[in-house]
Amino acid sequence: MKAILTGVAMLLGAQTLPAAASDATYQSSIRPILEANCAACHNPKNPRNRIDFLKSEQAQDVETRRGLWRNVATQLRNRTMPPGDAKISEADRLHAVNWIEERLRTSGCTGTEYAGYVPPRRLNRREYRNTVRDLLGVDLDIAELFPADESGGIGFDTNGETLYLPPMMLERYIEAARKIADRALIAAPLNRVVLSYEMNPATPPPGREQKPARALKPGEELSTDIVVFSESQYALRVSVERPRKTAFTVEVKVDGIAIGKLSYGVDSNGGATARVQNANLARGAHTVTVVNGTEDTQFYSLTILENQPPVSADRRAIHYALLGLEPGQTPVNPDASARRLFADLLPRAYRHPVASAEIDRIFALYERSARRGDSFVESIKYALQGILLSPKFLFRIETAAESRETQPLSHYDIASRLSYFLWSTMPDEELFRFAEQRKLRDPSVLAQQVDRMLDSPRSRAFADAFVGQWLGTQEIGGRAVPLLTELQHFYTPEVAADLREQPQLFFQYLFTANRSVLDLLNAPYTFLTARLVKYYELEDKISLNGPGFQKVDWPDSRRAGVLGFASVLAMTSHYKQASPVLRGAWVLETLLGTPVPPPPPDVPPLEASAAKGTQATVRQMLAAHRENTACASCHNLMDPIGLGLENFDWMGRWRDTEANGSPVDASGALPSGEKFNGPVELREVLLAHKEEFLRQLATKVLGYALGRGQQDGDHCVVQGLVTKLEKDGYHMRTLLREVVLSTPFLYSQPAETVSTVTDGPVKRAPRRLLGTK
Amino acid sequence: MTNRISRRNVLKGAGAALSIPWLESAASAAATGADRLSAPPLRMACMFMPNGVRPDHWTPAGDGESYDITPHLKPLEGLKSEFLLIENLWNKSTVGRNGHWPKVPAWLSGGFVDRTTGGDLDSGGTTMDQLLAQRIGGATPLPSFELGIDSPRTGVDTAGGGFPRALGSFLSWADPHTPVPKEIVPQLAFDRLFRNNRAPVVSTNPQSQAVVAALQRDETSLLDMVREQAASLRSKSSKGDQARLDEYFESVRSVERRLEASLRPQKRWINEGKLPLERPSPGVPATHIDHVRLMLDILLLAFWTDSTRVATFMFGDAQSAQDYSFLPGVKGAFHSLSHHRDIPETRAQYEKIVTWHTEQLAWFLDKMHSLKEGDGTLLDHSMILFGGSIKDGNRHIEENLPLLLAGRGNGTLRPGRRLRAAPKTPYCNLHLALINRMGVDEKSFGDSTAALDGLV
Repeated sequence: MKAILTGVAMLLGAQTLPAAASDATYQSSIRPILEANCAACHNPKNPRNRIDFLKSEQAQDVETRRGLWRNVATQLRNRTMPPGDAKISEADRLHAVNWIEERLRTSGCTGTEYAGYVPPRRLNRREYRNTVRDLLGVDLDIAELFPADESGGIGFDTNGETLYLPPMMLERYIEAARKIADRALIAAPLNRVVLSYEMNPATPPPGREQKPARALKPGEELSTDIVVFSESQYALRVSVERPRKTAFTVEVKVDGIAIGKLSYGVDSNGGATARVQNANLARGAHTVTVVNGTEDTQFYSLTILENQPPVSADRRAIHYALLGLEPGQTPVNPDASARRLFADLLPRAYRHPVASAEIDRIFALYERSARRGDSFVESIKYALQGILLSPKFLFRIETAAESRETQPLSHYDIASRLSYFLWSTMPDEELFRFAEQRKLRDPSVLAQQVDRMLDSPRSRAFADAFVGQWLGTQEIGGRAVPLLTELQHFYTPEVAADLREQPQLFFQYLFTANRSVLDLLNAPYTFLTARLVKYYELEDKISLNGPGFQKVDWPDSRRAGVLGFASVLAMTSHYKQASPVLRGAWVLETLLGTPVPPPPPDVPPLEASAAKGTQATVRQMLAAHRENTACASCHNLMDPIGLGLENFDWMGRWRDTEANGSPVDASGALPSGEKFNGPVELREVLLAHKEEFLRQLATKVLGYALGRGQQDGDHCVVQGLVTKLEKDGYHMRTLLREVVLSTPFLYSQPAETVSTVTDGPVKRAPRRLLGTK
Repeated sequence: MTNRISRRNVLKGAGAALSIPWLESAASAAATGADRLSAPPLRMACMFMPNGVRPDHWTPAGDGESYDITPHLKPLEGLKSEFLLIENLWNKSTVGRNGHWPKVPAWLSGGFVDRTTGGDLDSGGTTMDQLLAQRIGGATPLPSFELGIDSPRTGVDTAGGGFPRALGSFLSWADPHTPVPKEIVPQLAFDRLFRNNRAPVVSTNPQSQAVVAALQRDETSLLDMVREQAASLRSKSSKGDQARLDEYFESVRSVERRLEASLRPQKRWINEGKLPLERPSPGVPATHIDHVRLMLDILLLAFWTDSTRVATFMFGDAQSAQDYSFLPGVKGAFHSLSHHRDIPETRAQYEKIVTWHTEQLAWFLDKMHSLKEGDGTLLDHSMILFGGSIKDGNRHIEENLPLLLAGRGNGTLRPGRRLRAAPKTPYCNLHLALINRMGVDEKSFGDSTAALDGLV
């Protein structure tokens, strides 16, 4: 966990905190505090004590044992240590933890360039969908197929550590692979005619002059075995000689189970006629049986025809493109065509050149199917499923570094990192070409690629995923705001969708137009639909021409930046009540990257500590809460920020009066003494100290791009990104480009050399099962 | 193995329902003595309700075996002879810290849930349902079946103790680091029951039998291939990479084992007759109650068809924010109403929501009770554990968890009374008792001190 108050202390100028983590302070107060509170268990003289941070006698020792000390800070910060009824005061706790974190932060850039290590990552479901679309032209409904992905570490679904692959997920991949193969390739519909004498029990074929009919006695039955490849509906067509005198029925059975009776009406002219029974048949072999009714019957044939829906031109095009055939063409040499197809498809599917052994592996699947007599298309479909289940397709596995040194990534790995970062999909042809030409370590090529990729409409995937998860606005319309009948006059699913999309378009604009990242705090413009104009109650000030989202200027500055988004404000509210605490915590955590620690145990609930009168306002209740010193340390920071947003109600709409009619009081004062009133002034305060915001944004973008949690060594990289941003006019593209050019993005170091203490601990081997021996 | 009627309906394939799941047909033909259990097996389901209860509306007064039904239990009055009210159990490892998130994984494991930032979930233990799945799951097509309503939550609840919210979404854990996702989409859950039942061998033609045998192994052959590929990748990769590949490898093995098991004749219980349940349409039902009941119906079908014997169901995830305004007199979401601050009007709404849950349970148990199998009912051959991880939703009280155990457990339970254990008895004692009843011989589980006494 990162500095909670350090940053804010600098930002807001709180006097209680040290300006710098000096050596003298360590000796005079930090070490004594830790010795008094920790030494009983973490005795440095005890050889069996492995948590021996108290062995650090000098302040410099903290820097050299970074992992251990970061852990100490985290434990202190979270109040997980010292345990139970330890007597450490809140002041001492904060004093110590702030010093340690400040020391770690300021000394972070002294070592060598840090690359870090990224474990293999499963494609998350967005990436899976996009990759399948770009590889095979098949668009899937992923929400139906896969459960939502976990987001861990730094809060994104790109985080490899939390992209689990439990057996249930693998089953879904098997299912998806089958669906994709069925959608990508069109197998000719099964159409099999079984003549009367071919039915079991078989009889010799009739002579040339004889009628091809077979006489059936009442109750007599004939059957045939068929193999069905695709799960589908089939028409079972039974052809008999028309009854001249008495109508009759024929029963149809599948696998011994009667599924219907076909009735044949009388026709004095006789002649062949057919009736159809539809049946759903699973992949596999089936026995179809025809059972004669109560009359003598002349039976001609049984036809089994797959009822395939008409195939669209698009699907046909995909089919032939994938097979590498002209429309209507069939392969002359199927085996050679199959091998050629795999050789072409595999490098793109695995996003890496493949050895011939890899092609052999897939070809073996094809052969398995082809040798038992499946059709060419069926055999290719089968092999395709193997490709889609391969770890090389499902995972992004980077070429292992063989040395213990930090190594540059392969050009193909860089191509994938770029495309999944900015497009959430596989590399396109151009990226593959540059990878092949080994140009993707060239900074100028990379910079040019970043620009090209951001200009592409595909970069919307990045905007949506990044901003929705960072701000949390993707929750809007789901859990975050309940759909209640009493809200429906202004809040509908369409409004929710617009509220969710508003930050996405805004963010996309920041990089397509290369705006300043500070626009996130104070942009005077936004994107609205007519519905949102109404929602924000701006009909008299903004009129849109035409449907859809349009870029508009806010009529005044009260809503500038993300703090004006109704989505953000609604998300940080309780039901029917805006919450200054949640909003304050949101600003600290999301915009400033300073997680708020959990409340200490045994905190009296808000209402109990404020139970002085029944009409207490939120402001009064919070003030009473802060009288408790344990609460005050954090609430002194959270509450004023949140109170500055009191003009926004629980749905994020503007209000001048409270529910009880009294005017809204949106004034706040920070511990440093800085006063403000309302969102405009609050924003100015935040903007005046933008470094923490820049650091947070850089941390988040880097974390999203890398797909891992923040590690200790990243602090230096982040500092570098912030410096570049400051030098370059805060342009959004500068940030994205510099992330791509950063050491962690282009290099990898072996996992063993990475400090094991990260903001998210590394995955350990499963413990032995409880209850087992 | 399922009943003929639905098999027939499936084959007839009404209208556009093209991809109806494929029920086994071999059932009728091949299910002779060797593949058939002669008596119904024991099934177990654990059903979780979030956000606690109102204690005095749950626990009856007095301390005898007999008791007067309380308001929360009122919907179950007609089934009073079919369940045990179990009192005074708790999960000591969950005391304090956060009121919701860590208490969910611990509910069936008794483990101490670590506070992490999400990169490394640690539930502190394997849950008892998953232990059973690993030990006896091979006997049925699905080793276990996890169902629920809410999609998993993400992020870390920094304001609430620094726990990943995901902890509150997973009741079942295959090991301390591996949550087992639950099915929340009815159609997917339904299809899962029938996914393995492919390619019936009915034909007597030897040639097509060979084709069928080959087709049946299509999936396992695919998995063989990717497993080899993973193994060769693993041998070339760094230590760090290996951990992730191992997870993949293990999942492949697990699915393969299941497919293999489904090809072997499994000795299963076959119910003749009808259990009408159409394949659900895609997506999630529009109303909460329809969603809950459909999932419960699917669970019922899973037990009835002996597709699994171990299941979990989450009526809601921890801190469920499900909006219950559909209940008369209720305006708002479950979790926020659970913190009613003893304000009578708010508390009354909360009580209605809790009692709604026991209504759904009663609906489910009634159905189980009405299904005859063997010498009794499906409920007689089951153990349905229902309850939550906190006693009092308003205060997150961990003692004396609200729990009830329905069914007769194949004669190993004596329902129709209350069982008052000594105060602060480990909840894991009950788990151990259930594990043993399911035929797994363990001497301890979690923080158990002994198998819970007095169930029979």
